[in-house]
Amino acid sequence: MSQFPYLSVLTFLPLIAALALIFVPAEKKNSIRYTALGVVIIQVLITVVMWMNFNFSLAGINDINGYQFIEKFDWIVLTGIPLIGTFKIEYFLGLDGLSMPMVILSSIIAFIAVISSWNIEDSTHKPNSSKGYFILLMILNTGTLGVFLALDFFMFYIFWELVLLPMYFLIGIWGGPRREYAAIKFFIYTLAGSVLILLAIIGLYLSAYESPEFKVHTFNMLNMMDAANFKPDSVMSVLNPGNFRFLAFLGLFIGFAIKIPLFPFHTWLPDAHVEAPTPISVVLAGVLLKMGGYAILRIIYPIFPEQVQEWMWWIACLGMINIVYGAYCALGQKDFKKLIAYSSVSHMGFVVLGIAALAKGGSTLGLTGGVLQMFNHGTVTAMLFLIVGVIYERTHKRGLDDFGGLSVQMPMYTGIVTLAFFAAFGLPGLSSFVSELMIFIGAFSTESIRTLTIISAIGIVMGAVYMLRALQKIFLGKPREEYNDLKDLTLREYIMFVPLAIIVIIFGIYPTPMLEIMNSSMTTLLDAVMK
Amino acid sequence: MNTQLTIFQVLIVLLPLFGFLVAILPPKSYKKMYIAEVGIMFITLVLSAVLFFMKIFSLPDETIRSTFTLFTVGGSDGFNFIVDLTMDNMTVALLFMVSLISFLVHFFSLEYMSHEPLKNRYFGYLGLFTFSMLGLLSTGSIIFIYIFWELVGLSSYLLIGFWGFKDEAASACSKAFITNRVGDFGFFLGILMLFITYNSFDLFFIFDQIGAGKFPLGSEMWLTVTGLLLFAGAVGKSAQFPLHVWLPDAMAGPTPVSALIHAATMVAAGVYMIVRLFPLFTETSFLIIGFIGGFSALMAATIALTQIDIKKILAYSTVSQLGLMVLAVGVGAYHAAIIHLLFHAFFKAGLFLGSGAIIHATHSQDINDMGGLRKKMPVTFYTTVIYSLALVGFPLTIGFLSKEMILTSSITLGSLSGNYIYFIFAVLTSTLTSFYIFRYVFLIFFGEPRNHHAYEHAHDFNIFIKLPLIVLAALCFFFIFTFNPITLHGTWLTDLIFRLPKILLPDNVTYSFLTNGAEGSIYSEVYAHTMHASEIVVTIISLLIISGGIGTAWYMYMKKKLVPKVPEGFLGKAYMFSQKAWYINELYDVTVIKGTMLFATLMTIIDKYLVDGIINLGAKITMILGRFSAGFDKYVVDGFVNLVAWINGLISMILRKFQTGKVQTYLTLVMVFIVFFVMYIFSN
Repeated sequence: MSQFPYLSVLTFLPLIAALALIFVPAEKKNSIRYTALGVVIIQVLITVVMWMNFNFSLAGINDINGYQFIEKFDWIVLTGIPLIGTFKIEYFLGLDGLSMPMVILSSIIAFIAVISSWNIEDSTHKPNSSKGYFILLMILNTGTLGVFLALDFFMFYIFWELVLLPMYFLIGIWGGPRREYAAIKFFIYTLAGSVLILLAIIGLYLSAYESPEFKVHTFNMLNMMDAANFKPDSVMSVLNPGNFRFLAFLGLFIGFAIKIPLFPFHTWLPDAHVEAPTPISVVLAGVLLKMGGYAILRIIYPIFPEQVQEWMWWIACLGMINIVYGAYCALGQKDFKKLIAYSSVSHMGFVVLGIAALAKGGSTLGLTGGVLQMFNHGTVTAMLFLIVGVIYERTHKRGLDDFGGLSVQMPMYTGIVTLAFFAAFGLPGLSSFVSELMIFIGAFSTESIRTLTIISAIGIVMGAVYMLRALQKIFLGKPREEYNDLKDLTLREYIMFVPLAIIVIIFGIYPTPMLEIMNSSMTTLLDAVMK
Repeated sequence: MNTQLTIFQVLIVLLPLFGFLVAILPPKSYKKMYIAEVGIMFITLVLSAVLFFMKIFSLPDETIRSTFTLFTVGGSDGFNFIVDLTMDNMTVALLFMVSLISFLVHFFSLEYMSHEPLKNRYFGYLGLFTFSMLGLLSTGSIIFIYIFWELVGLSSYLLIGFWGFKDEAASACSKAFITNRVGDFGFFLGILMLFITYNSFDLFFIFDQIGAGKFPLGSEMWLTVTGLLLFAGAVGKSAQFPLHVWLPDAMAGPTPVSALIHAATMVAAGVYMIVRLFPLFTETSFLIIGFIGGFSALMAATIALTQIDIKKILAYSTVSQLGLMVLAVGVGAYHAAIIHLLFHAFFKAGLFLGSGAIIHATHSQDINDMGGLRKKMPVTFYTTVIYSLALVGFPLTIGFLSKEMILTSSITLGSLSGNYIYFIFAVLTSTLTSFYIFRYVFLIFFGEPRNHHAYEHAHDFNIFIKLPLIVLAALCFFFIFTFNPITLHGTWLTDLIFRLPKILLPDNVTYSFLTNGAEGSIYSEVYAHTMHASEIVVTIISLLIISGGIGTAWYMYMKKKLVPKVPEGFLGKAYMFSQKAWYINELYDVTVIKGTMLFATLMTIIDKYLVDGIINLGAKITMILGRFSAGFDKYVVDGFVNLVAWINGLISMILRKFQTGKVQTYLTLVMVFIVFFVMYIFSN
């Protein structure tokens, strides 16, 4: 392990920066902002370096030799504990074709979030509140990257919870009028999910050995993916007829489904989004929602393949409900930001539909499409929330009926909006089309969920309906005089939008760079689930 | 040679995209970038003319295809997404037509849009459209047809909404896109059906497979369903009933746009698509397709009779003519459909550009503001008459040739299968067409000026307006395309340009409606014979129709000098029914649109009060439980503790009384205790 610890640096750099920022006086606004900016730029650079050194043929998933940039040490080892034996937690980070797209996404979104936080103010307009904000944002950054990189269940859980805490304060302090309600709802909802996850983790921990020979309990996820590593009479062993595997599967699934969020666990999302400040909405929709989808693929799929096979139809069904229900709810909204929030619900449904398109020896189209959709939705929805932020910052209004004819007053902004909206409902040539096409082909080829796929296709019509309705109400029609003085996009806003727009266009025309990262991992993942 | 042609084709498709970027990307201060875009369009036109002649003269029998894999999902045996560039004679002819009309529209727009501040954007969008349309024609892969299909939809959206600050343009562009998406829902599912069956998007491969008897889900019924799903896309794009409602509204866009996109090219993409997919349809599909086309044609023609907005007249006329093309496909005459598509593009684009010239001159679209314009705008007048004659199918015009083909094939179908409905649709439509288009001509160019102010200012414009009108009018004469003014059968258009490269008919599928049971290919000898025999009948009927329609229009608007107004009595109801477009928009408003919005509101309410309500209820119950346990803690648990403490306090209070500090008291107490103790012991 002589190589440079890319993953640790990537993960803990923001945390170190956060600690350092504590000692910077709050008045030094610029030092704080530039430190944060420096951190995210270094993260993007590290990601690029990793991407260039990434070995596309290695699969990862359930084979430690397939992971790259591994860092694996014993962290906490306690021997001779009664009933448990050896208690072992590892410091275990690794990267494969499933986590790489998520890491790339997190780095990009973190960068965008810092840029869009540049002039952040808390809800009471107190001066110098940005210090606490940036510290929390950096901690959040560490948390999300940790979730995507941790391969030790204990570490995973710590990072999973670490995300929660800064998010709570970021919404609760820098949020809108109902921020406290939204923050506590978000926090408790996710925490409830975390409890279920924790129970499942403990069950798995107590049942799995490091290997059949070394009877040492471990939190190593990869060990839990091999049924041979379970104590035959334990609660999680397939050999034990009275096992609790289904309950553990359910607990983990609900815990992760809350994050995605899947119907009916989605109602925290619109509230959190509406109250969160723009950059936090961007991180929330851009990265946090992906933690749920990612965790399902990383943890549930390889550890509980039988349950996944058995409940595949229901998972797809929830995806279908998300797509259609989310789309109709989006159409029913009067608040621009809530509309975008529900569009996230709808689009995350495509992810779930895609990853439920599993067939033995079938193609990986659905799975790959699902992961690609997470990436694409992350970038597109980041644009959408930034778009809401631009208009809210200028007018402090967000209702669809509060606007009209902005295309005349803000033509460049309208151009960006048009691109983002058409990207959101999957116009060919823009990134979401590729992933949605893959998901639909994958799901439609899977005979058991074909009917669900047909119903889900309503989502592609409805997507255009609610998006174009919003576009029409806000940007077309007669311009209103009250908005004659609105400034078009500023340089800082171009810096946020242009990179995302370029990503959306490039991956819409040429998605190969993303796909070659994922291909071998997805094949292995499919084999692991459908073995 | 092949590579050379392919390079040409790639250039032709990509140049307009380059033009789009050139016009749209530079900052605002570069005001003249649109001129570069027009220049690029001219190069595209020249290249496509060269490509057309090179292909026709050097490789007339070949279908030139080049493919490469854009991306792969999964391993080597995984899903390959293949870019497909295909060129046959039909492609090069249509590429030529589209770039020609596109260039003429660009040229026309230089004057028509001269007062427009956002010229760069306008011409950029035209470039984007041209790119998408040329791309749509240049591929043999169903998914690429879909991709460009959506992109033409995008450019159509942008151009209809170009004057988005007008409310009608704002709602028209959304309506156009969304209505098309409804059709695309079917199109997309059809593509999925094809893919899961044939594991390919390649149409030529799929046709081979159908020919070999491989059907979706193994049955002919599902082939019919797949075909109809794909046809749903064409219903949207080519504005056929019941998805035709977007096209008349789309007239809110600039008129040159209407000429290019909503008359000549994009709306014809649906017809092009079903011609391309011809081998995929079963007999049932054909019958349904033909019926939808015929019904749309007739319905739109009845609506066009009473419109007073000159662009609306032409819009419904377009729906009607597209309906005839769809009908032609339905009766198995794809030649007729595609040739009518080509010819219609010329005269309908001309009609629209002519109407643009009129609008540019009078600043009105209301036919009541016109009249007598023939003296003021002679070029517009003469060219419009030529276009109108072509539209009604007057002899010596191209319209005669293509319409005759449609009528002959539908009557042939009738005499072979006994099903004359398609022929009746076609005849009625043609009759109405010759009436409404000459109503248009008479009301605009003849009679007394009804709006003198507009009349005074009207004039023919400069060369930018005139040249496109004259070029298109010249193209309306038969001799440009053939030396035989009577029929196109057996000419180079039918035998060379528009023969489908491969008509592989499924062995298991019989087109009995075409062959009347005769064995062999789709066009049996019986068919050809019947076709030939009916030509003369059709010509006579056709001439009767034309003179009848034009005569009636002449009688009403020239002799009687009627002006458009609602008549009395029952006729008035019929008139309103026609003018209100059969009240279909109103019907959709109260059913589909209200229904969708209602459902959305319902979902929102359910989400807010039921789904979220349960969560909030849970939170409330938890709070109540919390209060309860807090109360329990305070009054019961803590109360018990306090009780114990209180009792202790009480006891100690009593005991305190004894703590006096006086030795005498203690001694007394000790004595009393000892006395009681001794008494106790002894009593036992």
